[in-house]
Amino acid sequence: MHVSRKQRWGWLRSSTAATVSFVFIVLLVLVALVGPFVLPDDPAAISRQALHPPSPDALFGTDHLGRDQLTRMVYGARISLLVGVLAAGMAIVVGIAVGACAGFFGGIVDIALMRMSEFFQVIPTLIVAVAIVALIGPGLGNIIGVIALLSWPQTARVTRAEVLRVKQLDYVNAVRCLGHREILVLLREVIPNSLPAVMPLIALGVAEAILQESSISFLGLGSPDTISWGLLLHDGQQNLLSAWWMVVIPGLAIFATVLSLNILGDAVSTALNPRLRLTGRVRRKVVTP
Amino acid sequence: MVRYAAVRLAWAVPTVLGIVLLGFVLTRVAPGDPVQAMIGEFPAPPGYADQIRERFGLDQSLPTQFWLFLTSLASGDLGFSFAHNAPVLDIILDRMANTLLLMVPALVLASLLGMLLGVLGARRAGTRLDTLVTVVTISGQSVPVFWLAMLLVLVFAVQLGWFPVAGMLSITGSDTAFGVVGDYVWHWVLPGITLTLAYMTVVARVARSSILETMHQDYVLTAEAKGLNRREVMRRHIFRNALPPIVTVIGFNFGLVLTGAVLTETVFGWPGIGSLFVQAVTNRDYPVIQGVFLFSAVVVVLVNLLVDLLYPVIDPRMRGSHARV
Repeated sequence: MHVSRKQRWGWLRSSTAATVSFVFIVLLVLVALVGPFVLPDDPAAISRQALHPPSPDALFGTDHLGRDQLTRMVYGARISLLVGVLAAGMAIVVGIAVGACAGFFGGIVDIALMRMSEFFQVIPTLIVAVAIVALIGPGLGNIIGVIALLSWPQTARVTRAEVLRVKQLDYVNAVRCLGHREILVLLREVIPNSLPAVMPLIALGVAEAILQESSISFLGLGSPDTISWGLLLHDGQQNLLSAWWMVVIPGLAIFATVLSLNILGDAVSTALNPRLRLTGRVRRKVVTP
Repeated sequence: MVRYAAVRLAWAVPTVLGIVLLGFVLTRVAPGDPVQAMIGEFPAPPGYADQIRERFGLDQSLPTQFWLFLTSLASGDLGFSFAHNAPVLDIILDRMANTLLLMVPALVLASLLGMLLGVLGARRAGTRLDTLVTVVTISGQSVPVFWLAMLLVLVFAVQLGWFPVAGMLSITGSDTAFGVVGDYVWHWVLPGITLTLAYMTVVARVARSSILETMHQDYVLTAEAKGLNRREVMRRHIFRNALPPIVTVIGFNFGLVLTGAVLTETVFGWPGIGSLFVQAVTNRDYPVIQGVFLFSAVVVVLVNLLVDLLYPVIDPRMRGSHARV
């Protein structure tokens, strides 16, 4: 099916908030990619006066060891975005695989997989993540793995529901009639055609992963050498009473990033489900006496 | 109804077993000696390591070890913390009341305000008020709760000095019961509001979309056509039918009652399970880490079970023998 450019980008232009969010995320990614090559300071360099408030000299101030906060924020953006994208990516791939198998094969496979995903949805995520990281060690890979392990169920449930719908559509049956093996029907027809339903979860997943990482690092569980926004907030809490900028700025960055991603996720799901957009306004004319 | 309850109860058992298994695996995948993982990084009496090795049969096969682990849990033994010099279960029960004092008022307040916001947003869908509700809910879900907590401290405790920076009760204390309650409320305000805001937005979001969806059902049109006033339609026909997803999310929040406060308690130094847990993590006090994990996960399962049993009360369709379980 041909999708015109207008259709493809319609979701983005549907609201100002979505456009602003998109631009913000693009800029942020650029800063994270290019920033470290442009900034003069080493993020670990102790070169300035400690706890210096924001000034033209150091835009975001300096931390308790005299390190430049702007530099650390830019390096932190790298880690926070990297963790967000990798953890959400892994969770979505696992979720699609699990959900597709559950929905397509049904029966005992479905029951087993869905029970498992329910289990992961029920357990208290933060406690489990912190317990695992505390026991296996604070490496970045561990943190990404733990977040992914605890966040795939949502994708699995959405994929399963969509696969259940798609697998009994006529064109899928037509492919079956051609005598293709079931596994090929799943991989070539059912999964690709179920993917649009998962789209909104990408941005939402990255947002959630960034929040998770910041919580874990905030509790002081990340490696002190891996600068993330959560670690900056951890340092900020230690200096809460003397250096507001160490708290306000990194938190604002997390908030703005997660908010933008959530708005983008919502915009995508609204675009895919136009009914959400119309509800209310149209009906109000009927309801109001 | 009885069958429904039995099925739900039966499903809770494997979930609890899964949690215990996860807790068991955690101590085994920890780097180093599992005995050390069970003791934590504290000087234990020389005989204790042998005692542990014997109790969990560490020379035996893994299934046997798991069985021993399970039986010792069943007898209420969550291990011993050398950091606190007390059994883990006692420490957790000791802190639980404080966490409940922080969380329960916040959860109740958040549920009520969240439903109110949801109703307002849905009734005025498409208006400025609805946009405001949407902005509040999406912001609430994007804000790191510990950052919100620190902002409140910066403004209301550090700058304005209206509320204490941390703690649950003043050290100086009060002689009268009335004074103690007042002191607690004064300390509750900042952490309590943080949690209320965080949970409120989740409830509001679900409530708004559920109510909005119900408003478009034919039976609502029928009710309106009968000439019922809007308040009555909202109360009896829309809100009641929109309730199940709202109850689900509120139940989910309550299930996390012991863990939802981890970050907030850390910021405010509230002496509950959350700060106990974070302290244990910092000290590598493995028995407490594992104990809090097991305890809070089981609370989640139990609360979810209660919520499941509540559904037939709200929704008569789930009472019959053909109820979908």
